[in-house]
Amino acid sequence: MSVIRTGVGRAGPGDYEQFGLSVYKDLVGRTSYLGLIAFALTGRRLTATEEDMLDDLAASSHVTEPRVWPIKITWITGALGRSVPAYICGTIALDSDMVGGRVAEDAAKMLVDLDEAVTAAGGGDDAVALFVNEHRHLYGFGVPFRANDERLVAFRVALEQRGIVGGRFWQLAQRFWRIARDSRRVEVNIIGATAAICLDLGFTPAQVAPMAVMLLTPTFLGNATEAAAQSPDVLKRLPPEAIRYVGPPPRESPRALAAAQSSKQ
Amino acid sequence: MSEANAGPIEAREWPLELSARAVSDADGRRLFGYDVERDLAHHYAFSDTLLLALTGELPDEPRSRAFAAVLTFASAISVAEAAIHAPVVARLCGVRTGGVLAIGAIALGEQADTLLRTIGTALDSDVTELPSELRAPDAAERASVERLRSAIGTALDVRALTADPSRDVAILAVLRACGLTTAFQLGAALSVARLPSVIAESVSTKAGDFKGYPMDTPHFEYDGTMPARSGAR
Repeated sequence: MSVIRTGVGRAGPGDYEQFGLSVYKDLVGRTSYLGLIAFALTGRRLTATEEDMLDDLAASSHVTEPRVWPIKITWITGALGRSVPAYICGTIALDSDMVGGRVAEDAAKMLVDLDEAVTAAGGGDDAVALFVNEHRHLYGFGVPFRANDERLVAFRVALEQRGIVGGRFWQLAQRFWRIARDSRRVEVNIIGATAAICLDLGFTPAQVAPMAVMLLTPTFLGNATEAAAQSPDVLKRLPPEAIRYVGPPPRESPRALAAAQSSKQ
Repeated sequence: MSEANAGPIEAREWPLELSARAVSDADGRRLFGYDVERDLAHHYAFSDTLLLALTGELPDEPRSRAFAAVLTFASAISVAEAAIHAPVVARLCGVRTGGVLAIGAIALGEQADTLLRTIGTALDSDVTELPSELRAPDAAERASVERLRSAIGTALDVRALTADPSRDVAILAVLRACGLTTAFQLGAALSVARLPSVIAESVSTKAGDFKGYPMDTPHFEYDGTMPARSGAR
């Protein structure tokens, strides 16, 4: 039987280790919550400024609106009375081809590909424009029902206030987003920004997906907990006036028809 | 709420009703128009109802027989498989029914997605030849596919079964011949078919019996140097 090698951790006597560090001696009291998540994902400890930046990204990503589709799942399931199942059900929707972690991973992969293409071509905007034209689907773009993503606007303000100019991927992303907006009329969203920031923090695209999900956790926890506390009857079962049947009309099955026919004979 | 304070949701008009596309309970309980209590329960097996749910139509006799047979064929997978192992550990941890089934369903869905990705478009047209990685690896699998062929009967022509498929490919070929074509339909059918193994192994697992679970199987070897890390702050 093959052995699994892991750096993510082990239980020692009275302590745990992760990536060569002691949880109690090296991490407790020295790491923020999001810094701990980043460390658990990448094995890299963030600086205090980087942790602050992730905090800003999480706060900017905090969509408090319960009616937004994936979040509404927490309400629908929370109506049945328990917050944790509701939270889990809602966050499953973040493993989607359209929203959340998987899209963040795709957006990060796209930025890595863009970086390679632009570097190979000498770094000019022409290479970015060519990349934009050559890719039918651009990940990390799309702002339904609004002109731009207010979450990204808020995050940019937070970065400016901290005097953070962003790293290589963030800088490249600014050009990517501008050129994509001008030529394809698509607007970047907070997931695209999450991809750029996490790449600059040393995440691989595969590590960006869980981080993006974690950044959205407060949104889902808050909604799940209130939904469970209220357990609203109206969500346990929507009233008849809220349902419109659009399926096939009543019909008899072939076997029922055959049985009826045979009983007549 | 004042117009100036309206958010993006209030700023638009939305449908007020949720569309029910399959189930109606206004005129008896009906699935895609068929009365569940007066019709389906009397004349059809659960497997037919599942195929109705997946396609919107009841199967003819050959498809009915084949679908029931292939579901049973796919139903038994070992606790060695991740999709069964994970819900068993969940049950061990005292997770309740919904959580155990959810963990099993997610893992089964992942397993089905992987299989469908591996097969790709190989079954999209009338198959007479399969790439080597999709063919039966040994005589035991060949015999298993032959048993599947026998179980589904001769009335349904599943051309891919003549192309020496592996057992998993054969199961998917039969599901396709039953009218399932999309990845969602195929993944759902395969997952539901395998769910009995999740239930069977989990229901037999005693919550809290941690000492009886092989905690270090397989063995995990900790290496604090992987991956390379930056210096401690």
